[in-house]
Amino acid sequence: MAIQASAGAALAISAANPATPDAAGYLALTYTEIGQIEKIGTIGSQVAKIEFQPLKGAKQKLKGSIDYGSLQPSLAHDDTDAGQTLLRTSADEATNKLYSFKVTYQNGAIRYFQGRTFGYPETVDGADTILMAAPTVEICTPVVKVAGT
Amino acid sequence: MSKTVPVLVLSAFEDATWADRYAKGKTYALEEGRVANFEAAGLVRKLTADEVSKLPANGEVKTIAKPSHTRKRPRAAK
Repeated sequence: MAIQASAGAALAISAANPATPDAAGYLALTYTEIGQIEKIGTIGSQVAKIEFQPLKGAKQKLKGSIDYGSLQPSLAHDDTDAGQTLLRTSADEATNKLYSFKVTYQNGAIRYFQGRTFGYPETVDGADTILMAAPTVEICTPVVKVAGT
Repeated sequence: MSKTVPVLVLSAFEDATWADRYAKGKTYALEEGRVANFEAAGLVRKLTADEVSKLPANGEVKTIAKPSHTRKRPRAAK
């Protein structure tokens, strides 16, 4: 059995970009872990579906454009956490600068990609809740997968 | 071993990667990659050559003294 729990997974960010968009390029970067994460979210691309229904015959379905997806982590807002601060910086970025991200699974498998943070909204809920943040990281490159051990 | 860069901490922060804490106003010698991230986040700044020359030779953490121009002038003897 090779299933694993989400517990122990981590999300980290780097202000630098890889020299080459492969595992070696991403591995050469230094990442700062984003602390106080509750959920990391969904990682992976979606391909648009192009459909054509001819008058005769079955519906035809073709693959269209690729959307690399978006990451919507949930985290407890922490002003003093370096990773969160860099994530907020990426959200405040006025340019289209890309940031590099690294998701590490419990078994050591890694997912690398580059993205832009489209906002860092903070959620103030009821009295007995933690002040949370719900940033959206739009993934702008293919996800590079490195197998775990 | 990667090269380290002396930096001044502008705002106290924690690095979840290594569970390290950094105090505001102190200097640390950190790896270049970490400095790039912290600098981009506005948490640290690289020390100037003049500030580096005042650091102890062994590179230990040291609090930077306030610039001399902020010190109060001694009162003139009456």
